[in-house]
Amino acid sequence: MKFDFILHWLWALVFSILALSGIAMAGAKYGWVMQYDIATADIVHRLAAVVYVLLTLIVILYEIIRILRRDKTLKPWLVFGPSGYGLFTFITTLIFIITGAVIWLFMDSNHAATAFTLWIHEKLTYLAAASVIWHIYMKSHALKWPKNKERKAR
Amino acid sequence: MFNKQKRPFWQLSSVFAVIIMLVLALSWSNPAENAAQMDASMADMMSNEILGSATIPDLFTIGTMDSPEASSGNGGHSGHHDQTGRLYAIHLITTALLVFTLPIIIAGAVFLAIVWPKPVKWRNSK
Repeated sequence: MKFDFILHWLWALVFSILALSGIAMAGAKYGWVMQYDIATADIVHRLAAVVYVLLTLIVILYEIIRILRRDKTLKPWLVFGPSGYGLFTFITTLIFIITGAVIWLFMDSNHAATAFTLWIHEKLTYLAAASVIWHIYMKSHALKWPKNKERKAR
Repeated sequence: MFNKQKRPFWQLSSVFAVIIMLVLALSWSNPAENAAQMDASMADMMSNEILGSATIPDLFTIGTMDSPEASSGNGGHSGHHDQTGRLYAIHLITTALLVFTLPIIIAGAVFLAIVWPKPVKWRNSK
């Protein structure tokens, strides 16, 4: 199995956990997503955020190594790219990580910065969630089970 | 009506629709449902309460606004900092990981932002 394929689906899983736990904490209206257990949502969101940050680091290092090695091979499953949805994911991920870090580190010491970054973090979540639905729709052919390839292999 | 190639998307959507219906049905009788009367999200409430009176320098000044929990001494967060145990250890480890990886991520992102716009041919020819 290809490394970029594994990274893509790990990314999708972590992003889904982050989106669900984040939306559960976003406001009382959305608490039903995690049965109003905000404390658990907070812990889950923080743990998933660390995995998300580590995955981002791995993808960035992988891409840098590819560039330095002048690797020409196409990596269709890689989450970051210089154009299209890969670039959108790259920019939104950086904003998510930076605003998330500000909320995490300065929640008690700077309420103005927390309020500002939390607002960006939340609104970007809705944009990213909508873009993921669009991405799944556009790439829905990838959800098909590869029957023909299996038959040929047999 | 539907494009056949997009059928997996609609199948996936219907699975998620069923899950959402089940979660909504389970939370229907939850007593915490009463809490859902507030319309504004947490970010909107915070920005309305705090950002209205805040200035741009406030965004970069640490400690100018005292936490109500810290000043009262009996808030929800004040107890968290005194905790020892697994949860506090997890908090320390995850915060340390975040602080150490953030500069590397930003440096890597700056590198990619410089290299990516250059044509692939240029990158491969040297």
